[in-house]
Parts: sequence; C-alpha cells; structure tokens
Amino acid sequence: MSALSGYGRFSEPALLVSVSLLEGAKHGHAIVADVEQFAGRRLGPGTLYGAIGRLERLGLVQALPGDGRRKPYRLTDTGLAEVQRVLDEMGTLAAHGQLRLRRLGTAPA
Amino acid sequence: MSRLLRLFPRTWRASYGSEVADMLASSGRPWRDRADLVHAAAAVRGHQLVDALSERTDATMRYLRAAGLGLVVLGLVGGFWATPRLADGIVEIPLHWWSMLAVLPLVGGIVLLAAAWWLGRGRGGPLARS
Repeated sequence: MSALSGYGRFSEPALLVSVSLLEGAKHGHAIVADVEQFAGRRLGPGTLYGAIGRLERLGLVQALPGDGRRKPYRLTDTGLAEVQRVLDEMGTLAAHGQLRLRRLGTAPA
Repeated sequence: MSRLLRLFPRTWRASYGSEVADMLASSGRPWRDRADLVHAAAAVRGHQLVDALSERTDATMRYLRAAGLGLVVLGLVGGFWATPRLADGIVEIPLHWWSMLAVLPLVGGIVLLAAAWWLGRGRGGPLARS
C-alpha cells in the first residue's frame, strides 16, 4: 500500500494538498484557495489539517518557520516522489479507463 | 481558541491548533467547518488508536490490561448479582435476559485481556513473560 493511500478518510484530501504543494510552499489558507480553484472542492479546516498531520507524520510534508498562525508547508523529497508515483498510477488507470470507454462507444449496440 | 479543538489530541493541538483557530475565525461557513472539525477529530482519534495499537507501546498495553481487568471485575459483579435471579438455570434467561446483560462485560474484558496478551507477544514485556 502506498503512503498516500493509507489515510482512510484523509487519502483524497492528502492528495489534493500534495498536488497543491507541487507549486511551492503554502500555508493553510492558500492551500484551501488553490484546491478550490483547481479541484472545485473546499477543504474544511479539520479535513485540511487532518491530512497535513498525516502527511507530516509520514515525512511527506514539512512545516517551515512561520508566524504561528500562518505556517507554510512544503513537500519533502520523499513526498514529491510519492505524489509522482500516485499520479503515475492514476494516469495509467485513467488511460485504461478511457480506452475501455472508447471501445464501449464503438461496440455494436 | 475554539472549544472544539479540545476534541483533538494535545500534540495535534500544539501543532495545528492556532492555524485551525485562525481559519475558523475567518470562515464564511462556520457551522460546516465546525462539523468538519468534529468529523476530523473522530478520524484523528481513530488513527491515533490504531497507531497506538500497532506500535504496541507499554502505555497501550497497560491501558488494554487495565480496561480488560476493569470489565472482568464489572462482569463478575454482574454475575453475582444475576445468579440468584437465574436460580433455576438457563431456562430463566428468557425471563431475566437483562441479568445476562450484566455478565456481558466479563466477555468484553476477556476479549480485551486476550488482545493485550496477543499484541504483547514477543515484546519481552510482562505479558510476554507470563
């Protein structure tokens, strides 16, 4: 099982947070705004920091010094590799799914 | 800081409490965010319990043994209380099913003690030696 898939409730938010951090270090408010913009999903504070907590514990994300209330987070090298791996897996799955959908569309009714 | 944050473990609050409080203070949908916090707190506690059990720390084992022993004692007390009401044996159970409920903690306690023993195997702790 991959690190990102091992969160139960936080697996999808963790991936959204990780993808957001691919752009660079961000604090909570910026992550929420970014995820809302690219995924159309607003993360609540509990979901967001639940996911960040798990990512941090697994060493995939690291907190940077901040002013306490607005602490930026960034992906670690391990986190970057893990996001890359998960996105590759998702890409393969999406490609297979699209191929089968196309076959389904050309199949005689 | 929101009282809801007390639902989270202390270490979690120390790491993220002020950021979550800041986010809640500027929230445009406070009730949904509060509900999200309660949901997340339950999940964080659940993860904490699973992690504690998988790490099998001494504190976790002590907690399991204490909870198991407590339930066994409660079940035994329930058993003493129920026995006179079931004087004619198990045929009385349909009439006094609530008496059997008093004995159920005994079953739960035995399960917890068995879990503590099983998880404690190979750790070299007191349970592993006994």
